[in-house]
Amino acid sequence: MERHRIIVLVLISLITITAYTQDGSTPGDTQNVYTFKLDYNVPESPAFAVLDANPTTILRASTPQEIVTHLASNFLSGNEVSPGLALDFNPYLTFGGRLKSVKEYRNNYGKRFLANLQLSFATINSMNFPDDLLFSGGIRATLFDSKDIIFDEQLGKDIDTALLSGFSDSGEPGPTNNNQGIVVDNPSLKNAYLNAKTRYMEKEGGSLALGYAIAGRAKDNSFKTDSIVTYRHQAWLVGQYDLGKSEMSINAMVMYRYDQTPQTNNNDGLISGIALRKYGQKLILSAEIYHNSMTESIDFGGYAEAYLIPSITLFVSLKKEVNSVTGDEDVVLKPGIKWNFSEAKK
Amino acid sequence: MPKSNYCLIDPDGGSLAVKITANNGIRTGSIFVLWEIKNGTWEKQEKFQAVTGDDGIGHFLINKTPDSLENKSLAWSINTCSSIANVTRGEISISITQDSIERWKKESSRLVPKCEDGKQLQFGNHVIFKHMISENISTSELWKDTE
Repeated sequence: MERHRIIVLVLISLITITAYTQDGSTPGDTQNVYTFKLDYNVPESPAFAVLDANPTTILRASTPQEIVTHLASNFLSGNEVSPGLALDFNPYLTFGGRLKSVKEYRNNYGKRFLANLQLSFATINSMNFPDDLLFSGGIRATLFDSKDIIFDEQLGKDIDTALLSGFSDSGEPGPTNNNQGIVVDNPSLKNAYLNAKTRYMEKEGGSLALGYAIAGRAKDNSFKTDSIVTYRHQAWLVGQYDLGKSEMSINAMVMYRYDQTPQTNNNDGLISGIALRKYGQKLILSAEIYHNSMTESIDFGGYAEAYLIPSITLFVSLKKEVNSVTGDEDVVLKPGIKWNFSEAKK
Repeated sequence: MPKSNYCLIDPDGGSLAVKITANNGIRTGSIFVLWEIKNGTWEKQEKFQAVTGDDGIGHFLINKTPDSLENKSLAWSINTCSSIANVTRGEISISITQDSIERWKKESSRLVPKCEDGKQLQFGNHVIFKHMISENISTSELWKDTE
């Protein structure tokens, strides 16, 4: 087991270092455009947050641009493998909600609010409760995001131009034209997004998000009614400000947590703190410091996230953790993998 | 040819307005060409471009007067993609109106690729204009026209 863990750590470290050395490339030259969205716009899973399965404590506030089904798994933590699975999606659009146009998205706060809701479900095997299965549900709403890419009017114009130029030389429809539909490549569309990415990275702006999540515990992995207990509630408000050309952002979060674990002395309290993030083309580095009124401690964490393989995000975090059963404190190096289905389907 | 490919218009009415719509943040860029058949071959008469843009609506007027449009074909080719994440299906419609009366309309619900993927859905169709026969015209006058 120990040998396996070392191999994983070495592998993650190597990949992370490789990513860092390649970080000076021109924006977007080798990147899938989707990565840009992962880097900047997809916040953490609310359901994972309540289970402490996210590698960071301070969450992001940006708009979840890619709000299709998102799956994350394989959190390797501590001395034991602790697999977890999260499913994030937007309920409004998934269940038939419609938008008239881009203009409606921009002008109608209610529709934009609904289109950016994030509903999340997760399950994880925790070392704190080795015989039980932890599961959770969460919801997250973006209240405000001045860097929402759909507000980029230039991108809209560039897409329109690309679509009009996307006809082949013989693209004029004949008098009896009857083309039922064919999907074709249009490189100008990709260029439009690459230019938008550069603008996005250089733009200053802020965002604000609100979230709530609840976690439950299935004792002995049983889903019988008397085996399921509520484990934790939490609600949070997080703000983010991107500093523009320096490609850094500051996040600040206040979270109220109510813990129903019987062994916990202080059952409720606030977790508040700030995080500083540096965004590269293929790597995100962040450091965070936060106060936990339940444990009456000031904690810290470091985090690196690498985007090297399409649909897979590798990360490693260093963070002080408290075992909620024994109360023991430990600094834990936590490597992990996130797999995003919304990109994998391409 | 399917019946839906014919558009009945009033030869004495006003100009024809063509409108294309797309919902759900789907963007379209399209080319329309008006064709006329002369001596057995089709000749291009007019060409139009339209984008649905941020509003989801694009439109233009056909310059030729309705009385000259009998048997002419209006053909189009549309490029489309989705600009809002998670939305890959939407309704796209083309309608032709004359004096605020809808003469012809075609709607379709389509799966479209995401613009950010560098892909577009290309599809198209055409419609043939036919003059409406006045309701007041008598059978004998119709025979005169035939002769």
